[in-house]
Amino acid sequence: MRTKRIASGVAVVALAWGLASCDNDLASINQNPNAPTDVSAEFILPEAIQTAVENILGAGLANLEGMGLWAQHYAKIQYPNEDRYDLRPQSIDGLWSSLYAGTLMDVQTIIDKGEESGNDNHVAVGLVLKSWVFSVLTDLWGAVPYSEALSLGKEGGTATPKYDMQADIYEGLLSDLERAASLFDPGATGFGSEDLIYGGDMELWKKFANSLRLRLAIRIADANPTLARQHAEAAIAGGVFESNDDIAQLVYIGSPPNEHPLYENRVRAGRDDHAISKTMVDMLKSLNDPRLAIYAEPNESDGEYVGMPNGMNDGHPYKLNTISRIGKYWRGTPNAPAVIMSYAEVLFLRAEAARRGWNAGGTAADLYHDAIRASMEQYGIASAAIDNYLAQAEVVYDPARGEEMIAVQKWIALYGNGMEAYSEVRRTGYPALTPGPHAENLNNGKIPARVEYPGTEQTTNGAALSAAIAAQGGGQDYSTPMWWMTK
Amino acid sequence: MVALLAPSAASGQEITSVTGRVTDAATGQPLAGVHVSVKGTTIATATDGTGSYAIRVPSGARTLVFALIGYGTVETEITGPTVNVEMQIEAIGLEGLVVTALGMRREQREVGYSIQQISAEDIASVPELNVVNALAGQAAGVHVSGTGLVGGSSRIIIRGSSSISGNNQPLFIVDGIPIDNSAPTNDGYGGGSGGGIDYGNAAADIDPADIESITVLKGANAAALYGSRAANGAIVITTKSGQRSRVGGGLGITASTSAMFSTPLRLPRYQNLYGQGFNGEFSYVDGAGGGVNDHADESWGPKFDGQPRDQFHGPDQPWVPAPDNIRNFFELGKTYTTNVALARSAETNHYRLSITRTDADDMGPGGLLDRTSFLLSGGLQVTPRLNVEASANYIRRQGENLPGTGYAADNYMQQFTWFGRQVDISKLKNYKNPDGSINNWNHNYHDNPYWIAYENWDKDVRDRIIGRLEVSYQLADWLSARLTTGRDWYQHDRQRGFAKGGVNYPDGGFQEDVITQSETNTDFILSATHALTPEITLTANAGVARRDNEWRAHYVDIATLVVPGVYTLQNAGSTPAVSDELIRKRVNSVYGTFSFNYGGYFNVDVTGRNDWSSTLPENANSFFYPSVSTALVFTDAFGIQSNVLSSGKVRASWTRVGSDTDPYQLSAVYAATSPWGGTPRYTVPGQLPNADLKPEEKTAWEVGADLGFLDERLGFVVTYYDERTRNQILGVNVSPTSGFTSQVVNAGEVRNWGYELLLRAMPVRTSNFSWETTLNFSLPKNEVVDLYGDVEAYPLGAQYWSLEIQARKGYPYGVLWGNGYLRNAQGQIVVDENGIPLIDPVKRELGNYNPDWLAGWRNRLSYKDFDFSFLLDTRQGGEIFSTTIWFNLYAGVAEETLLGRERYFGPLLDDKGDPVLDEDGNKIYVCDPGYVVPNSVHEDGTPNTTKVCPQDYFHSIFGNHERGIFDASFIKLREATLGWNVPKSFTDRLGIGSMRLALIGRNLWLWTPKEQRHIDPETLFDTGNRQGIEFGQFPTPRSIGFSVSIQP
Repeated sequence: MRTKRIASGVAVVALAWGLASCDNDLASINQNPNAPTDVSAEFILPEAIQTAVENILGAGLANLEGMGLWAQHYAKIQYPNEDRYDLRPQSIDGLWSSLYAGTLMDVQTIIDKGEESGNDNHVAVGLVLKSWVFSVLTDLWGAVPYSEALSLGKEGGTATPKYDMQADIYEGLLSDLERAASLFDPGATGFGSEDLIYGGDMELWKKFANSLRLRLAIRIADANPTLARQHAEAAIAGGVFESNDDIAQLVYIGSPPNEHPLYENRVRAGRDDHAISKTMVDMLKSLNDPRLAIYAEPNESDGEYVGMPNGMNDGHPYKLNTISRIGKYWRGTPNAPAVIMSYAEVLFLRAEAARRGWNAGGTAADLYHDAIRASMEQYGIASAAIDNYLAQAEVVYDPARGEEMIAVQKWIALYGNGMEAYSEVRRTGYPALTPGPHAENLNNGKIPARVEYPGTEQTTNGAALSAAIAAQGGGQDYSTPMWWMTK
Repeated sequence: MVALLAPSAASGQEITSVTGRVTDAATGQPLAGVHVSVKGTTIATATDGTGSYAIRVPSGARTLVFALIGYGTVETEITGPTVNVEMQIEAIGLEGLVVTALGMRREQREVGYSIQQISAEDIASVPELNVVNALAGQAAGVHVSGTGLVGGSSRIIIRGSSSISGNNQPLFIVDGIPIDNSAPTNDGYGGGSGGGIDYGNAAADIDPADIESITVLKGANAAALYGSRAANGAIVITTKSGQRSRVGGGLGITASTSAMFSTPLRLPRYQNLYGQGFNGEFSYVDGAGGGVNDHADESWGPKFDGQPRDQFHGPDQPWVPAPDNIRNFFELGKTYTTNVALARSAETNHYRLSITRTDADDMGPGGLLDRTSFLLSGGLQVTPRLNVEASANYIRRQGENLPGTGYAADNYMQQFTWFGRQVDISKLKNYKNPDGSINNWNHNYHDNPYWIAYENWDKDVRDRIIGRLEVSYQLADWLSARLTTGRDWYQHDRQRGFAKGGVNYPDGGFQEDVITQSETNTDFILSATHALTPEITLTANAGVARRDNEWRAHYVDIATLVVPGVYTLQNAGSTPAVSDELIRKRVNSVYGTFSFNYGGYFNVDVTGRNDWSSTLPENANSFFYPSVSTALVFTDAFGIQSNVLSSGKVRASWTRVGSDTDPYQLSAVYAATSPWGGTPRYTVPGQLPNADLKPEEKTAWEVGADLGFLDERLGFVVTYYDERTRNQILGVNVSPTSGFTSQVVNAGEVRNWGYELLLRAMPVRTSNFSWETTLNFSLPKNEVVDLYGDVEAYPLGAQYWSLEIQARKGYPYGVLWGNGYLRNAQGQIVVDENGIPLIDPVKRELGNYNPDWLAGWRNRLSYKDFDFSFLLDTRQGGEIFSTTIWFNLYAGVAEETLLGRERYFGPLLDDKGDPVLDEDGNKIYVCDPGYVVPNSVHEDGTPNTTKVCPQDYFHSIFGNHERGIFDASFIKLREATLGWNVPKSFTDRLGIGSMRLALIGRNLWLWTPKEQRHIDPETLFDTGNRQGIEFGQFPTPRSIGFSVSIQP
């Protein structure tokens, strides 16, 4: 009896020991029920698009609080540090981090999922977005991590990716866009309403891929003319934007939190730190440009259009009620569009290609005039007014000053896309922008050629960064030129 | 060792069972609940209410052991069928039982690691709502800190913090069952899981009146048997059972009631020379800038002269200070506690029912907290072999209108920093004017504090049940089995409403959280003991256990209300933010202990435990942790008989404990971001988890000695410990170009080492008068030995006003890292051209939140029927960043801000009293006598002689953390009691056993260094690892009252 009791007691314990050591439930208990460990690309695409647009075309360093000022589309009326080329380190760190660990990580995930499941349309959309974002990164910082980036956590990945030279990056972007254009298949599954740009229309995406390819090709037209011409002609032949209906843009819903960033900045955050730049106003006035009434608001004091000079400091003498703010088309419209690439820009790019004697499907003069018309139609200007404008001597295409005229008109048309305008000003030198009187960080008296690298890179990826600076001959500054800058 | 015996039977018979009575040697009173066991077997029983016991004795058994906590253990030979025993109280020394891991009671002389037992009297003599607070100053190596909030959180750290990102608090055990002690997080800005309201740490639900004793198991050594949560030590609570009930059997009734009244112990010291405004100017029109500086929420205004001036409560009011305005806001706090307990103990069963009700009215207007606790426990000896113990504790906590904390509008103290020194609080009581508009001193930034108290509201209810069942079965004389299962379950419902129309929440708002938490523990243990030889006893335990945790939460947040005053989800004016969370965890364990005891004076324990945790990777979720400890009572071993050294034990132990991590750390989950209209959005998270995560590992050793002197009148316990915690789980920053901003790694090492000292003495012990004194002292040291790669510092939480609290390589855990004065190479302060100190943009170490040493000193004196006891508690060293003082200086309300304006501050006036104007027609502002920053230089190195005025000087404080960091040392008179035991003649007439009346007090006196006389430095936002910061602390209550208690 006693032995039986002892034996049964020991048996129970032994059984329990055995159960404890091979409990298969442990792993399933640790499955997180609160959030998914995997979602399909459909749910990631809208996030990727929204963050890309917000980072590049919004109220941050790439547009309103940075490159839009440096391109002299906008100017600051209060807290003018950025307008004097004095950027906050947190802003530089923030944009770098948002674009890489935020937007690009989501985009790369879409591409990876597409490769895995064999969905070419997903891969192609991802490649277009990836190329666009990386073009912005390299246009701001020159050599940046590209081929080894976004790989942490994967087989053979790294936490310290090397920096690639800008020439190699552009080559990679152009070939990715070429591949993307070839992958689009309107007949296969793609995206639906989660595609916030084109609603799933793969034909339009293909045109966007080729249009973006054209933009990047023109960018390197002087640095690598052969590669540039090859990609530009192929892109145009492959099919680029054909009307304002093809514009790549994100139209905001118009209710919080999905409102245009410039509207949010003015109305929700209550900030009144920006105005339209004097450079832009004076240019528009000199051309009697009807877009002035859209780009700017009449000032409070006498209803005139007066731009703010760039690069002032805190104690500037301009009374705020005499200065024109940025137009209500953005500032007062919660559901305004953020234009990634317009039809006008495509026509200007084709005009530039034609000017260089490349096969652009038209003459430089025609394409130039069509581009201006497209830009004005984008803003709803009446065709009679457009005709009058185009008839002006100042506006009519003069081949002797072709590059300048195309560049200046494009700069006007790019209002709202400070990043692209800043890049083209650096490439062409037109319009000639004079830095403000209190500017810092100048590039030999000219506007800065780049933004300095983020401070966080020194602590987390210092070796790769140093190698990049050595290879570029600079970069931890505002003056080392972009590889594609020949002027 | 003391042995008394009283044999009274013929020898030579085969004895199969023994009965007897156990009494107190001094008083002759029967002792109930005495643990009676047959030596060399696992057979045991307990004495009942009459002191009687009956125990089965197997053939060959020779010795019975009698043990009771607080008494010296008696071993006596079995000389006959009746063995009566007398036991002596052991106030000091090695004798007696202590409760150790797994609810086992062991002889203190056998224990090889550091433990300290605290009696019910020390815990509950002055009623304290939160049992953690009752431990303050009572045990060496234990650091308790808390707040003045009724029902607020208290934090307990034993031997310093060892985990950088994980939990550092000990495990709480009640009657062998682990219970939840989670507390809300608080970011110090009105956010965190409590939304800025401190709902307290959950273990505070345990009613101190039900506690028999608390054993503090201090190191990882002591807790290697409780599992990884006890790596930071364990607080083992034993509740009162029915076994110590009324003498003579029958129902024993214990009752006590107390009332305590509270006022603020300390408030900041304010200046009363200047009132609201800027530049010495102020005049009220609308409180929003329509007058002269009437929007200002600072006191840089005109000097008080008694002259008429337009103020918020009327035009042409005398301009006088309201020196006690903030003190007058607080009301008398009242706490009433009543406990009634019924207990009965018979030969085979015992039970106890205890009911406690506490009603606390805190010092803030309208703040209430009440708690009701029912504890039913009992035991039944079903058969001689089978014994069952069970208990159920139901606790309900209800709070109403508890104050907000941190830098937030619903914390009254925030406003009292940004205040006018002339504002008479009594004139704010009617916060609504007859026309419905709000009556307030300021309409720019702040709501009327009474409006905040009465229009905004919060309510929380927590229902909790802690249940336990224990079945023990005697399998053989030498082998017993025990199955224990326990469950701790609670549901906490919290609601908050913000009324429409205030300055800070103009649209109103409503929040509701429902949190359900449960933990179930089941253990099955086999225990065996065998006397190898008369000298050598071997004991072994083998057990299996399973623990399941589940936590569910639902959160709703509505940012606008449609109809004012209606706080429901249907009345939301905007889309409610809602979220759900479910978190589960399971740990399976097997463990074993083995003890070797020689002669009763040399003991070696070896333990091992293996856990399988659901939170670790599936192929590596098992971790093993062993410990070894030994104790030698050398006075017995070497036969030392001396009156000077009456007992001496040396001990040593070594252990390794692994700690698993939180659930769901192994794989990344996609995070939902706000939808685009109807389109949901998800993003890859910023932190890369570690699929190969390993447990944190603590390796610790300690040595110590327990010495008794002068015939046990003086006891001395000393311990030295050294612990290293490696494989810290850290989220380290990586380059975002990798696709992530941080990744989780195992890295780093933290070292904790130091001394603990306990001194107990009974200098005087006569029949009428006794004096017992206890001193405990801790000297904890800490160093963050290593982090990860080149990382120099790891944040312990979010920054507070840009000050970072860090674990920094080479420094003690808890560095305050921020900006201070810009100084030159000679250490002189550098000032700008206006004489204002400059701030060094490069952050540096400005302090550390850990103390240098801690001590608690208790004295107990008794004279005939009177007794007097007090507890002094001190912490010395360490710093705190007091944002209260920082902003009180900025706002011109602190008494230090009179610096430079002792005589005058305001516009420069001519002889006629009119302001002098400069060439632009503007007034010139001056102060008299002005202030020159001592030992300072200009940026070019020239000595500074420029006078500054206090408004500019103190406004330059912002961003300069050095000016807000103070020595956090203090001495507190934590409690004092003066009691009177009602004479027996009177109590006999009432038919009760004993009655005691006492005057009681808590937090009666506070000393801090003279540089810091504004706040109580014992303060926290939450119980996490980010400490050393303060803002707007609710004042610590100084409580005085009385209590009446009766015993059967």
